[in-house]
Amino acid sequence: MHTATLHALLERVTNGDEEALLQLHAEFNQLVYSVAYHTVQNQMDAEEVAQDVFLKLWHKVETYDPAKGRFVTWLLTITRHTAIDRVRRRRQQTLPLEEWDAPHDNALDNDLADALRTLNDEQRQAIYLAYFQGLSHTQIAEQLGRPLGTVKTHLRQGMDQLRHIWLRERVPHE
Amino acid sequence: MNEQQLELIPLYALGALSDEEAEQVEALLQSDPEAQRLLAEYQVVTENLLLSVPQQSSASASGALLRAHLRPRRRWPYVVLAAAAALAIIVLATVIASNLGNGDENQAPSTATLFEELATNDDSTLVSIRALNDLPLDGEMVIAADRSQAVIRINGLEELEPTETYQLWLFDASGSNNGGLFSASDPTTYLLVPLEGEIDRFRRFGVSVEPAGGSPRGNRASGRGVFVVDVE
Repeated sequence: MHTATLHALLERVTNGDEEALLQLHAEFNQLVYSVAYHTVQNQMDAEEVAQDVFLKLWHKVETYDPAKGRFVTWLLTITRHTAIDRVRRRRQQTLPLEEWDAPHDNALDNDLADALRTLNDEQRQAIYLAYFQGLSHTQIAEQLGRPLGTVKTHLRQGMDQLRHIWLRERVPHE
Repeated sequence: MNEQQLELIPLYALGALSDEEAEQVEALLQSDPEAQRLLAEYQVVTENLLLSVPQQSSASASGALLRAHLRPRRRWPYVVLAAAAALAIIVLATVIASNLGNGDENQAPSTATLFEELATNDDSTLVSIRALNDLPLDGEMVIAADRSQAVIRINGLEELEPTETYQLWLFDASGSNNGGLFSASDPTTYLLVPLEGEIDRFRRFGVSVEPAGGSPRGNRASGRGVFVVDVE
């Protein structure tokens, strides 16, 4: 969606235009729903999270500040937090790693997913539990039965690997 | 910036640090441009994590369900908000040091009115209750924007025998706390939650059916659960 179009829609939402919100819903619902589903791992919760997110957008659109980042990032961050809250309430279990390797069609996503596949299973799982399940490194260590230092290393090395690929920088060898 | 601080930054971007460690990183970020630059790079990584999730198809893609749940965005004049706040303080002062009392007291127009006034404020938070034991209930809790008041509305709460009562429980880090006894009103019951401060020290509220006079277990429920509602 063109930036000018997006900002025009956000302005209309601020003024109470329901049709503008529904246009944003049409544009972003799949992304929102996908992030929600990735965390809560069931359709019903994911639908409820997605609806909550757009209701939050409806009531709190003024809190988005374009100077602080992209709208899609802001929206998906709200989605992640809302989904994690749901998970904490329902005490979801660890995601099977193969769920994160599911194929999909979007060209951009293939590129991003390829980077994730360069991580080893422990790195990928630790990052998933931290970022999509809202666990601290201590909680991850307890859940997986691994030393805390090992979990921190997995998180850091995984993030450095992704940073290296996605930002095209050399990561110093350790 | 030392090596140990450097290692915390990617974990901070993931939200994986303890509160204490996160505060250390935030203090570092305020003064260290290199730390700020690194965090910005790791935030690109986390942004890409969001965009890389497998795409799923939603059953609600049409937006019809969203449209059905939209309430008009409204701005209340300051004087109305101030009047609502004053009314809430009067009600809260009356209720806070005692039990919730019977349903008739709790059905005083002020509680229902407070719920409606809070619910129509765009900055309030609405959270659905979750019925337990397949009870045919529904309702929601409204949390005021400043997090200092909360009212629960329940539809379909059945009247109990004289030997029983409903009891509200407030769950915090230490466990459960008695929130008072009340009876049902037909068709809708309103509960003013006795917060004694901000709501955020609680994680959940719940209601159980107890013997008249309240749970024999003191600050723990003994009877069947009716509903719970989580603090958001």
